[in-house]
Amino acid sequence: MKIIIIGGGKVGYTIAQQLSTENHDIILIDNDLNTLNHAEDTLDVMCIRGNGASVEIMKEAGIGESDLLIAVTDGDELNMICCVIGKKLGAKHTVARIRNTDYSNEHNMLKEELELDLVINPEMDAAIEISQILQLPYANNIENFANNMVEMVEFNINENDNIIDITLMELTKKLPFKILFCVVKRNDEIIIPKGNFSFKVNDIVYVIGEKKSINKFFKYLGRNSQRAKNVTIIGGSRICIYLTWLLKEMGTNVKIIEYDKERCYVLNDILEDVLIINGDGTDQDVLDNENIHTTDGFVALTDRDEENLISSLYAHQCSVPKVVLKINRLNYVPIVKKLGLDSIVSPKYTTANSILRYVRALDNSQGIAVEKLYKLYDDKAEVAEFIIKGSPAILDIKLQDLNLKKDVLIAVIVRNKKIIIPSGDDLIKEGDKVIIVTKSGYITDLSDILEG
Amino acid sequence: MNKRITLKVLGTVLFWEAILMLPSLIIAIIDNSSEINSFIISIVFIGSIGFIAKNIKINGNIMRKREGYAAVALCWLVMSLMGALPFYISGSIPSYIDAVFETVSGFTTTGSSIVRDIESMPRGLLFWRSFTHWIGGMGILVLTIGLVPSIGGRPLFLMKAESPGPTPGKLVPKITESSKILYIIYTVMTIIVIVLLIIAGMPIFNSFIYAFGTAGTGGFAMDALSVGAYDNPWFDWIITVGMFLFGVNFTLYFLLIRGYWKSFIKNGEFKLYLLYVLAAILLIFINVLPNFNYNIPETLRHTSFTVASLVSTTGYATTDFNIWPMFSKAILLCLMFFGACAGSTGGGVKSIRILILVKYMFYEIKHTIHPNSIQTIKVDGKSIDNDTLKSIMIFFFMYIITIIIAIIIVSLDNFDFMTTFSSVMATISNIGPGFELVGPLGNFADFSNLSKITMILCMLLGRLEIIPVLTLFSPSIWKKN
Repeated sequence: MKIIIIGGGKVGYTIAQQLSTENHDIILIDNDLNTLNHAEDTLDVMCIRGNGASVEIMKEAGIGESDLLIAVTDGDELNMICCVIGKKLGAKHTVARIRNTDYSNEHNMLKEELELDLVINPEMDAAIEISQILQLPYANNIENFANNMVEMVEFNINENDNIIDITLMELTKKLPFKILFCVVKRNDEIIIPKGNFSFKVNDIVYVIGEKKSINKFFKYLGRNSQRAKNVTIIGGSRICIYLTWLLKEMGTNVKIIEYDKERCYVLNDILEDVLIINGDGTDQDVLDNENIHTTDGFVALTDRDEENLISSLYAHQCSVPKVVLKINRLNYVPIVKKLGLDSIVSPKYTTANSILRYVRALDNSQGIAVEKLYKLYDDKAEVAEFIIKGSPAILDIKLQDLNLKKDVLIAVIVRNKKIIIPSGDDLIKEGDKVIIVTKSGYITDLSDILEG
Repeated sequence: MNKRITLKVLGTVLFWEAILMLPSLIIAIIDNSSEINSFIISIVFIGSIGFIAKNIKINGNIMRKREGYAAVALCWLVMSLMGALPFYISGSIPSYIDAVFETVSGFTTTGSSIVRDIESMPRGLLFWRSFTHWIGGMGILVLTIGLVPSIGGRPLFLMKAESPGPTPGKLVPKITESSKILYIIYTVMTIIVIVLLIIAGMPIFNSFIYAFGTAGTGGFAMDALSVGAYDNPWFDWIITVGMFLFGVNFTLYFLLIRGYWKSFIKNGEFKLYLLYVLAAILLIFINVLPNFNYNIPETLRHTSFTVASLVSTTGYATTDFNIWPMFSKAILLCLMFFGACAGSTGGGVKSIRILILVKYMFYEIKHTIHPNSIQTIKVDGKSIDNDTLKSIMIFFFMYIITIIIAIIIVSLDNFDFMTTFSSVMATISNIGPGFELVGPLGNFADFSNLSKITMILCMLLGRLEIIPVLTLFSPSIWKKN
């Protein structure tokens, strides 16, 4: 596909990077020469310097023949204008990033009026992600599939867990409910576990299954499944506002610590029934004063990665059950994880991911579409949800007879709103939703999973 | 510098060089002449080295600018050393340095020759000699990128280092596609020249040889008198227009195909190129009219041919311009210096750099008079950023300093000034013939080995536009990363 990206910031760059390796033609438009030089030197894309909203520049980029226009500049309004003009000039689809809280309730109206095909709000997405993590304290990460019927949860194996040192085959027999362990990370190695695999301490595991089964599984493990009731948030950013709204809906008590007094007043205007503290969230005195020891959840959302890290480490040390922090610079993530902080949210990454998902779905107009796509363990594995249409080569064949590629796992089949955790005797039928787990590699079509 | 990546790129290039030798081998087999063995030995030798180096594992390292630039310079050097093998093994060119000179001259599209009796060379070798022009014109790495997209991860630096001009750009988002498009345009234009020459009555084999020389703006002929041997106005005009067009930036042809003919005509570099070509033709025409006994069509034909030949840095000749008046020779010398457009197959300083430097000169004068004035230098409505400007000025200086050093070394051979000066100019600008001893009817055989090596370096420096070659001489590039 021919894709034009306006705005070469972190999100624009990440999307361009990913899409260009997936064989799309990418044209990147930005005003800043340094950004463009960097992109041109490191990516296989074409760069054009100029204002992305100008008709002349868009024509130079060949907007008429483009399949998709993605506007991710700093300004919401600019993004909207880019998309409107782009559509008028012949772009087939448009995606705009709109992040201002003022527009948050108007996304649907904007979509219709401006003929946008997708509106992304990174802060909103991040807030949803965080609220899910806070709901299930035992999980590092939660992803939903198949209209939220299927849940995939990341957790760490602890020393006294009762699933260590038995093979998966025996373990599945022992468990009274059906779940599937789909990916394991052990010492930087990614494993798609087979029947003879057994867990060890410090493995990081993704387990997938029906919501009920997942809950039962964690009860079986003896983990606390209480959701966080008192949450402390550091930094009154936009994510904080969205998150507070979400948490209040669930009846959670929210306390916000914000350094800037003016911002505190703004927060006070927007948010109701929330305790807002004016203070430095990295200051241990302030945190101690606010009884950090007794809080169930701690979320660090300031603009600076370093501050988030420091205050989260302190909260972690005070044994707060659930600590979530925002990290902007993705290359910090592995280091932070080594320090014991597992729940990391990165809005830019989330945005890039949701755009990628959309592009892949667009790209697959010949019958099979990727509905959802998640990247796990810093892109080393991915989970893709497909809807089966047409007649690909895998229909009505027993799974054990399919010549699957190595490291491809068919994790879940959803048929008529029923969830099937498949075994070798199951088969895929037309109209099914299928969730597939793979080690890296770019699955854009269901036929990609078969050998040869 | 990561040596594995560099070696891998080198291997891929050598592998393709062996493949590109196959047509010459086929011609040798058809003729059943003596050089078959020399081609087979060379192909097997180069091909196997290439194949081994090509399959080196690079352990996930990616190519950075330094690897890209060093790899390009190294590839051109090794490719030339290897490409000389058929000449040397067959005994056609007994001295290896001469054989390398001839091959470098071929790949860099210079066309300076050390062969005294070209007409006795077997056809297989003749074909290889001219085919090197065609390969070198658009660049073997650009070809490799189009054919082997995965080469080293980030092939943009290879393309940047090999393509002439201050800011080589891509035509389409994907670099492999860009290379393919460039080669398709190049091939189609070459085929058109071949067909036109055949229609005009040239023998088929000869048409190929002259079309390769024209397309790569090289200048290797198969007759001692070059194109002049045929004395056929049709041939002359076809090649004149051909040489001129191959000296134009290929990006413009791409725009033309896409229907943007206005950007073709309005392009500042093209306009300047056209301007100095037309001006030179007019001035020389008036100046040499007496030499041709006031025969207007004859004079126009020869002046246009010579101007197109030297400005596109091809170096074909229809007449001995060495005997023309000094004024004409001086203008020709200027053209040799200016050269063709960036992104073409031609050499020289390039029209775009001249354009920017002239604009900068006027800007400096204006700035002295109005010290507080703010103005950027614009070409085609786009301002040139300071980095590009700086690189153009330093390139210009390096070009001059290289010429000066080369002249001093070549002067040890104690030839007259015009010979010494024009031989250096002819090699660094990738033209071919110069004046006096190295004029269109002379050749480079009489120079000492030292001078030949100097000129080999000059040709490579000129073709790769200096910086990539000089990176090889920087000690830090050979250190472990």
